[in-house]
Amino acid sequence: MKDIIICDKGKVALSASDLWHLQDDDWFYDMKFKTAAEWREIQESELKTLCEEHYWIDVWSITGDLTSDDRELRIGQWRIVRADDKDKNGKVVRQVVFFSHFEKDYVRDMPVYKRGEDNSLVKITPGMKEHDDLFNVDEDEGWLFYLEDVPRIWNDLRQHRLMIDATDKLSSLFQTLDWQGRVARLIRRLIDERHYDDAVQTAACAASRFEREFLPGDNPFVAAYKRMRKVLSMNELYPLTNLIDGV
Amino acid sequence: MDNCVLVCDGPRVALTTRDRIHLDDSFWHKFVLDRRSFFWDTDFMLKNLASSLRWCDVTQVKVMHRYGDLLIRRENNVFIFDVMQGEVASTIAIFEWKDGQLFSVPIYSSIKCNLIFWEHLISYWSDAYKKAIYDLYGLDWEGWPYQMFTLARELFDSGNYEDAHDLLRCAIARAKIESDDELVSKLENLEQQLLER
Repeated sequence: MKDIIICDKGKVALSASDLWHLQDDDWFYDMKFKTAAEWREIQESELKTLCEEHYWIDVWSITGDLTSDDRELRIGQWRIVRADDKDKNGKVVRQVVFFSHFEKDYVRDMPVYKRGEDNSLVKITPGMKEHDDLFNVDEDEGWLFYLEDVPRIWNDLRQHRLMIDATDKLSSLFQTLDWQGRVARLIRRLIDERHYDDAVQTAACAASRFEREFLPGDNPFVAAYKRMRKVLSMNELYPLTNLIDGV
Repeated sequence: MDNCVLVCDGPRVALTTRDRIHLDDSFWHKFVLDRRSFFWDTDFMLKNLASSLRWCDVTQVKVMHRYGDLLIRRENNVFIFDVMQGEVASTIAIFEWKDGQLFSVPIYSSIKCNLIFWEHLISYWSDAYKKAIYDLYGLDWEGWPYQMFTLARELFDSGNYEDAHDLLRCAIARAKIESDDELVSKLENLEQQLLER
């Protein structure tokens, strides 16, 4: 199902979110084993392939003349509508485009975008002078993605996978009710909230407490600490080495 | 008038006060309570401040211009800034306009007026923020102890009391392993303060 729009300046591609790996999927399982250098190459090549495989529509090439029927484009479940606002002298003062998505009897109207620099699509949000309470839709259901943001989203999803893997030695503690279980679950929660630095420092502190209360040397928190640091500093976790593997 | 500050941004100047541009320590104590808000809010604070100050473009001054309490006199490329107290003018600063920039000329003035360049304001804020953290907790803002203490406090404030306490016990263990007795004592004090709330 074509449920998202990818936007590159003034061009849009109607696509499916799973094709673009915009949520955590199996692709990231394979990617987590790649080194940072391999990952960079794969990312570039995947992005290039996806761009080539899609048909890109220049939204500003659609007429914005309010009297023309051609200002509306219907493609599958999507409708793209252009509109130009003119002043009393007929000079175009603003160009906007908006999208609607049809699913059976349900129509979702999306936020309105104006033409920005480099023909880019700039979302009209409350507070902007173009915003009209009666007409503009404020809610954003995460359906339009800027092409330039895609690598960042991929990096974030891969890094999250790696951070989860880095703490796998803590998983045996998750079910316990003592301080170790609570701190292990706290570390996992911090990772899920993307507070990676807090997670790393929490693991370091927990490693010290474990060492003082039980055994000096390596422990599950030390292993998690070392591995998370590797992920954050090198953008890779595998292959694991004895140096960071811990207990 | 001892509280006055002259802010310079390119050819623009604005006369204001230390508390108005948040150079007073007390303002920063509230940011210490939420370490993330400092980084989120400074952009807004700068924008709000820039739009609320009464700026005067000195290049537009021909000979003399009165701007609120500020009297600006021009002699060629030299600008003399006087603060008006009633009808009495006291010189607080002298600037030379050179290469599209104002350069201050050292003077003696009976009125204490700080000169602050707009681009340096964020650094002053950062220093004030760090000082506020140290004043309140005795911890440096960079480094794991402050990071762990604020995380513990966030956990405590959100009702995760056991997590907060566990985290502080872990932090104390780390300080002990690092043989930092002073830090152990500070963290134990902070733990006590948190538990007493």
